Amino acid sequence: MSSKYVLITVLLLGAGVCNAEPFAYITNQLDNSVSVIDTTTAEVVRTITVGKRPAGVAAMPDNSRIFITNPEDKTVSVIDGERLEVTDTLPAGEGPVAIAIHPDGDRFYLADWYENIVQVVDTRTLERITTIEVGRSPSGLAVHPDGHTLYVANRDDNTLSLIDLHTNRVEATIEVGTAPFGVSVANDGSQIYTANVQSSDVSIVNSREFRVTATVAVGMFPYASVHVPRINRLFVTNQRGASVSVIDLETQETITTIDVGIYPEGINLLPDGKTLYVSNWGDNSIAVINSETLEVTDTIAVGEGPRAYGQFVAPR
Amino acid sequence: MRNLYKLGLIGLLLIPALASAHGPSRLKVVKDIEINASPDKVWAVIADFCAIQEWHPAVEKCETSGGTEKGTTRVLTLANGESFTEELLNHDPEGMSYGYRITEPNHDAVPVGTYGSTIDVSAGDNGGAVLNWKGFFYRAYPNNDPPPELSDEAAMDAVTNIYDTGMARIKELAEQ
Repeated sequence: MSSKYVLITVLLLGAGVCNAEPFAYITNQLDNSVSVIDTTTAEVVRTITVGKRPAGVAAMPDNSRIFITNPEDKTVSVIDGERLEVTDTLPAGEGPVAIAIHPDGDRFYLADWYENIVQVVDTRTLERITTIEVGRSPSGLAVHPDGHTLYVANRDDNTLSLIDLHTNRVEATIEVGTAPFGVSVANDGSQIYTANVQSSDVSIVNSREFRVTATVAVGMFPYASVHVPRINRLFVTNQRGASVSVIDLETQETITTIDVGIYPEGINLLPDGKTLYVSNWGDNSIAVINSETLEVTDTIAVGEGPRAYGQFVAPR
Repeated sequence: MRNLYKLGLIGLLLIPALASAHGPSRLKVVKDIEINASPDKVWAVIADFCAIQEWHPAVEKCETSGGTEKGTTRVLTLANGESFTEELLNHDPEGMSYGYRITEPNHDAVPVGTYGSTIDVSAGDNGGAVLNWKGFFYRAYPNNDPPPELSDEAAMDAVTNIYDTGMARIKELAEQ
């Protein structure tokens, strides 16, 4: 009895420390909006109008601000995570798609698909700090959890670049699979993963040596991935496979494939360490996956063409 | 059920190079219409790949390499004389669906770039049928700042109009 009471108190305190229930911010590319899902109830609590054809999303670790890329009108919409309103709209070069936030929350990185650059922007003043030249059609961004390094997938060069975040310069570039798109990093920072759209595989990169150590076949047109540390598996969305591939990172093999909706794109892990959200672009829904039972447990209706490309869950 | 549903989508999911154009956003049109006729009767109207010249008001002529094998082509000529070529990706009489893609787009005929589509008949209420037609595509202009006639809006309007007028005619023919 008393232990139960203590447990409940701990849970309540825990919730207080986390600030709020985690929200998921889903970019609905075809109706120019963001669906805000309360992940504790799996319900859409707000729909926010943003710029044209929103694709990329990066939520601040503390949920204070959420940045949305709008490739069609070349802007970034800034959403206030408390008020759930757009507070600013920034001009953003020629082709803003991928966006990522530094673990410290002080700056975001914005890849420009047409200009082959990454912009470094202050998350508070919203001013551009610098610009980094990268490879052709930079499509995916991920920051190492230690905050020292940014990884950039250059889709039309079939490469992954390593940027030193102290100098803001490209320090190394390696070949990966064909047409790398989404990039993710293992929870402990030991590995980097690129989803290679045209070779239908995932390159596993050792981050210390910065070299490809394995290439794992997945479904057709892999797009994005996320590491689930508790079971040390990588979950990869396959756009044309209408599925999620599950890679066992111990054996470095695809162990199963989970059917989801048409054109699955963005994928994130909720703070519970177990539940995955996958955006089904073709079906206007979010598939909720239990990463341990490998089952789709729920489907949440959102807007038209949900892309949710990036870190769309906050707080993490 | 899930598997049947997925089978009908294979056409869409096999569209080569559909994800290659980033920059512009992929677009979609998904339409359903209820038809007061049996699914068999609706399927009979559309089953032949070149039957579109019978049921689509905008199509003047269809020339096909024949058959329902994967890779079967058809050349559609519109009233304004413009033509374009499509290729069958799958044809499933049991599931009453087929998927196809445009292999040679013609922006003067339909202002789309890469385009894939599935048309599907399923059982509706009271012995009727539901016809579903969906297309995933990109606008004709591959880069930023498209001229209006090659924009997302132009592509959406064109495909929506093709589907609406075609589906209305299929309904008419099946309900006769």
